[in-house]
Amino acid sequence: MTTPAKDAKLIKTASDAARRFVESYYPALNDNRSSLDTYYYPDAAITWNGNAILGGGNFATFFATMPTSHYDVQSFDAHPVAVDAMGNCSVMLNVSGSVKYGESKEMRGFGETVILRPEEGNPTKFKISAQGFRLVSG
Amino acid sequence: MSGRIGGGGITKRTGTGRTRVDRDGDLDMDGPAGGARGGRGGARRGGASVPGRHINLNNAPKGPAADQKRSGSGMGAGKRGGKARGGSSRRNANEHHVQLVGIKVDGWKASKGSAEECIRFMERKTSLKFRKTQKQGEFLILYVPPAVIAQVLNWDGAKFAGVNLKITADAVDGMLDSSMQDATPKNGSTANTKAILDQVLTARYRPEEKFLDLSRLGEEAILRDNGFFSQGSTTMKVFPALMVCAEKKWPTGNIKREMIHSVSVAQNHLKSITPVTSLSITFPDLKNLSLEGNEISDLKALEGWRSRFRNLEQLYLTGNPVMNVDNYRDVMIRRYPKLVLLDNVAVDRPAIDIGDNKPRINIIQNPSTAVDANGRPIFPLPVRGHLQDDPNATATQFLMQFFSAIDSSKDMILERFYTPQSTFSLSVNTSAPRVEALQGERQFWDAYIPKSRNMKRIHDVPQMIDRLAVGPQEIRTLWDSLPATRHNAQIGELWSFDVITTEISKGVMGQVAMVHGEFEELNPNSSAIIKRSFDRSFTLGMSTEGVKVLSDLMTVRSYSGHTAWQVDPNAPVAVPQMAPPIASAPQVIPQAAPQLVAAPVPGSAAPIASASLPDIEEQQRRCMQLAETTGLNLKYAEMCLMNSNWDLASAWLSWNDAKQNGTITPDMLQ
Repeated sequence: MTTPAKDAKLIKTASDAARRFVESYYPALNDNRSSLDTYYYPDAAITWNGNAILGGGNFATFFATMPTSHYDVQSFDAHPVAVDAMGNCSVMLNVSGSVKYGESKEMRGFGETVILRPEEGNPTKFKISAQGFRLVSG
Repeated sequence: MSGRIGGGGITKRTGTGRTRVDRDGDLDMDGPAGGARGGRGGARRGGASVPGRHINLNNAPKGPAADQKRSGSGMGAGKRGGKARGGSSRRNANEHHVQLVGIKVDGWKASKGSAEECIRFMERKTSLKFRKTQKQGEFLILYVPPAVIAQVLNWDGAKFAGVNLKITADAVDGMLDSSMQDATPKNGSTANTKAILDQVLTARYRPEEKFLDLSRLGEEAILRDNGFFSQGSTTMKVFPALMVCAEKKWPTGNIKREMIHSVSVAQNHLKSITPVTSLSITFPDLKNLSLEGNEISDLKALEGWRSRFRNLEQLYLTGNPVMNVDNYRDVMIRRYPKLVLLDNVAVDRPAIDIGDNKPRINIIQNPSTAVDANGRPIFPLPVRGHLQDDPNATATQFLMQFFSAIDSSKDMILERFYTPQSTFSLSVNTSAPRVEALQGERQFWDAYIPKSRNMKRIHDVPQMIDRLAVGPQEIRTLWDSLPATRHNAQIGELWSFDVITTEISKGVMGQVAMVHGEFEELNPNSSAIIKRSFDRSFTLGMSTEGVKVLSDLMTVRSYSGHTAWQVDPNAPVAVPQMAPPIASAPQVIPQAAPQLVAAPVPGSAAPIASASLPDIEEQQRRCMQLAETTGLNLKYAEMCLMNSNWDLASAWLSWNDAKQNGTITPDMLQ
């Protein structure tokens, strides 16, 4: 018997979701901030450099006032987590990359962890349930 | 490695290529192997190995390379011979030496980045290494082999350091024009060639199907009757020239999109797509493409179109040996995101959606431009200390126990916190920003890379399964295969811990613990100690036996210090400027920033705001008090307090738990 975590279908779901997330969310931070709210559940738990922020609306409102940014994902990895009886899972994602803010040329490192949870009744549609961001260099 | 850009000149990258300027003033990179290639071509031209009734597109010399040969002076060979002596020792015998084509990158000057950074950016995006680059006034020129032109052009419009790069290949036009000359039979004229190739295009275009059939070109009577195949020297060059004619016949992107949905290059004895790579430049928006009945045997031979044909819906490689390659379907499906039919079999692609499509709220975008005294942008929220949304301090205790025992008591950790379903994997970020002292210094990752699950590099599901450790045994094996480490759990400032409580899956609450820190890597073969930074995240769930790890993901990267999460109470905070209200237009005003600062997460014991932290004196007093009651030394007392948000009672409780669990070691005591 394969453990659920070694199940090829789940691994693929988790990696596809992670890839899709990385390819759309970070460009949105850079160029499409007005869409940020749509990535989150309304009650998503977010920490940004130690600040607690509740939900995508608050996050998007905060991020609208951030200096312009250029995030570049350099590595990411994801696991299926909390596999349910139906064979559906959430996805835990670890992202590491660099970011430049405003007019500064300084390249800073960041680390981010994201829990993507499928929508009820729709196991292939994911939104952010929890997210933690930290600058890690500079 | 020295800079590649200097004084507008051409700088070579280390390695294999030889550079020189050919007679047209175009840059040419070629080595002795290129000369040999020309030689082989020449021999074939003599008629010895001319294929019979078919064009063998595989050996088509590319671009201006042929010009040199046609010039016939032997100049090229002589020059190359001369240069080869200098470079032969560094040359990789397997390396292909092909003509390079210049790609123009415009717009970078207006960016915040340097030319060097722009090149690195393009290298990252394209996964290529540009051995030769040039700064020409406002432009950067990247020299690449023809097979990857498309891969680079694909990033036209990419955003680099605040600007959209304009990436064009004017040089491609030159290449195409010269391909017209190349295609012309001896004694023929290029004008005549154009006319003949136009006839071919007309004969092979089926407007009602929007289909251009370029299969079996070797059997094309129009070409044969006009002596294209009796003159061996030109038979292999027809395809690029056909594309030049196609550019004239269907001159704009819109016309091409409208008139041509499908192209077949089936049955052309192709061993790789290199001879026909220009198809993706002329018809980038094809929906259907057939390569059936060629001789393509590996994925590498298809690499040049890896990131081209973004709108491809049907692809046929039936009859090519490549279909037997492991993961062939997975790779092709991944390369072409809109593919619905591959080799006439429907593509089964999980329809993953991230987020919704429509914004729920309208937020005025108002990026801060404020900078601090050093010109560094400042943020609307300050950096704060550990966020502990951890009602019973279970996650915090787990972290303390984990990191004080990870170097010495792995079995205890696995036994206590990991279940047969727990997952662990490692990924390496080799390009992460690092402390200044390490910039430009080479870092070695050999011990980690074979285990790294970085999905920027790992795509295949079997490999992803292989690099995911599940259950204590596999996790132990993976941990043991990594270099031994020393984590310094005593010094609080080296660590950043954030814990949030969330609904991990529907109705199941759990915690996410996120750690940034550093370790010393102990090298058994030398006394040198390497410092690395890491990011590690755990998803934690509660069981009847206490807290358990659901998943554990670690990223290892170059050492980046611990200043990023230090709290500076005097750090400036950007106050968002409200845009002046527009009199008549109703608008949604963003919530004011202060409301966000302490917006509590549900279940949070107490949201952490800097105002609620005691001052330094009070912190010291509590440290002394905790040390006195528990016998912990001051360092541990401080760490315990930091992890309890400086709440004495919960710090004492964590100490108590740790003591009961036997995780208090003598070095923690006074």
